[in-house]
Amino acid sequence: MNSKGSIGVPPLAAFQVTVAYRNTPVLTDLNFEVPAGTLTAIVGPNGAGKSTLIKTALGLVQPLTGHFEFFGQSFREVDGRVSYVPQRTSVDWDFPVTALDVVCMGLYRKIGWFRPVRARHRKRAMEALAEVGMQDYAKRQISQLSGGQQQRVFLARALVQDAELFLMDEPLAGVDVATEKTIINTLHRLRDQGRTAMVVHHDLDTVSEYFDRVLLLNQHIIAEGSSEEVMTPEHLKQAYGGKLLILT
Amino acid sequence: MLLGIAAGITGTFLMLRRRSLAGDVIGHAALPGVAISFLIYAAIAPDAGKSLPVMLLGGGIASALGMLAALWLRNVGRLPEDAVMAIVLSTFFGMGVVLLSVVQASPTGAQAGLRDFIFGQAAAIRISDVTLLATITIGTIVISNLLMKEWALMCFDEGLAGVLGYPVRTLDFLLMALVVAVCVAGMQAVGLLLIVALLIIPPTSARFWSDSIGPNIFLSAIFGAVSATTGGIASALVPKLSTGAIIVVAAAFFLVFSMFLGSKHGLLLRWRARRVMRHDAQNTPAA
Repeated sequence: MNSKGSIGVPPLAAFQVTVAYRNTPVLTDLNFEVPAGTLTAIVGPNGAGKSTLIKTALGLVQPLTGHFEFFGQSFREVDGRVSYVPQRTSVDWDFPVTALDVVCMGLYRKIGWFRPVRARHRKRAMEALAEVGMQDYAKRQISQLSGGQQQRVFLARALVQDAELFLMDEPLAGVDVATEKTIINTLHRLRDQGRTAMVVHHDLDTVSEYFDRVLLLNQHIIAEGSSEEVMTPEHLKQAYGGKLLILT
Repeated sequence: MLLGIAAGITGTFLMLRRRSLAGDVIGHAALPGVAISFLIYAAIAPDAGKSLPVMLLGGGIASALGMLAALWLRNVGRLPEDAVMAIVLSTFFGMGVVLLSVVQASPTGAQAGLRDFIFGQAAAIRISDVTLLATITIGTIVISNLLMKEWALMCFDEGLAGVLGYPVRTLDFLLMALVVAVCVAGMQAVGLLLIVALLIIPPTSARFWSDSIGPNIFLSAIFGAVSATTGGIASALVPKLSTGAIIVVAAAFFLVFSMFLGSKHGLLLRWRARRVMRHDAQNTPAA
């Protein structure tokens, strides 16, 4: 299904990436590869640079050194193969748009400059909303949705982009159980289609259950690999310091 | 009036971008530019009097400088955005007032009527200026229709716009450029102190009536146009009446009207809904 980027080229790879805000280093010397067809969780304490990692990969934050490659190419060259789900709190939910309008935004690139959104685009957006169980809320103004419903709208917007790699920033933060299930099921379905996702996750209890791989982060990579390998008490202690009580 | 339409449209995007104050900065920052360009033009062509296009160009450049100064101050020194806006706004306006007194002291200055730029005087507009205004208005309508979807995306979710490969900076710049154009064009009629009102109040009023972008823009344009027309007529009927002030009062009237009667978020609607709720709650027997 790929035109460019032969088999074996990872959807996302970081090469000696260091990021600093003003004079404070946030991420130091990251090197990693995300294999195709896997679900990777980015885990780490607050301020570990999880969101920064995603934003830098997408070119929204400039790294001090190093670079990312998507399917062996730069982000600009892989137009349309990467999709992004920002943190829910990053946008203004009072904005005068409906859930359907938001999902349509994912299609803007396909629609093209200057052209209006047409019926077939809305149809596609409706299908995506139905995939996440939100078809009944399509006409609602977005401030009238619950947090979990807003997150599902974001997921639907990512789905219509029909990308091969999904980067998601805390899609499970503060959502209801039904939404959590929907999102995880959707992620698993995407993986079964051979797609890849990298997801910032905060709940250590569910990491191993939901994700294949883990990138444990605290300004630098503490451990990376399959969930079983990474989620050990020693690694977690290294990442979170003594503050974390291991309950399992 | 044309100006009201243009301001209503661009103002909607400005409000959605949470940059309403930026209009204020642009308006105030234009004053030194207007004064300087008047001085330069008077030096080059002493007999020509004032040339609106030249002064608008000067105002535009100064506004853009003001905007850039604000952006730069915000990024470099860790100042809060509102403080930055206030600093730039008052500094530029102060410079403008100083320059204006220089202009007024010069022999050509007295008849230049630069005072009208501050508070606005519709009677000072000439036919040639109307053509310019019409061009800017039509340009605004065309551009915002073409870019509605792109601007809406940028205002709502800058991150996604960037990831989808949109040139966010260019789009942002274009929006600001339109705001500058509208501000500067409206300066003579409404005055640069009050042009902001025409950028902010109509879109805010429109927000009470609709939850979709399209109707918001349309209504905002209508409110802007009606306010501007009211102001224009009133100041034509009563000489010496400041056009800008009337326009703002008219716009404010629509805002209050919308606040109470708005079909989406109006206060009346909310009170009624609460009464119904209370009524239901009282009449529902405890289970």
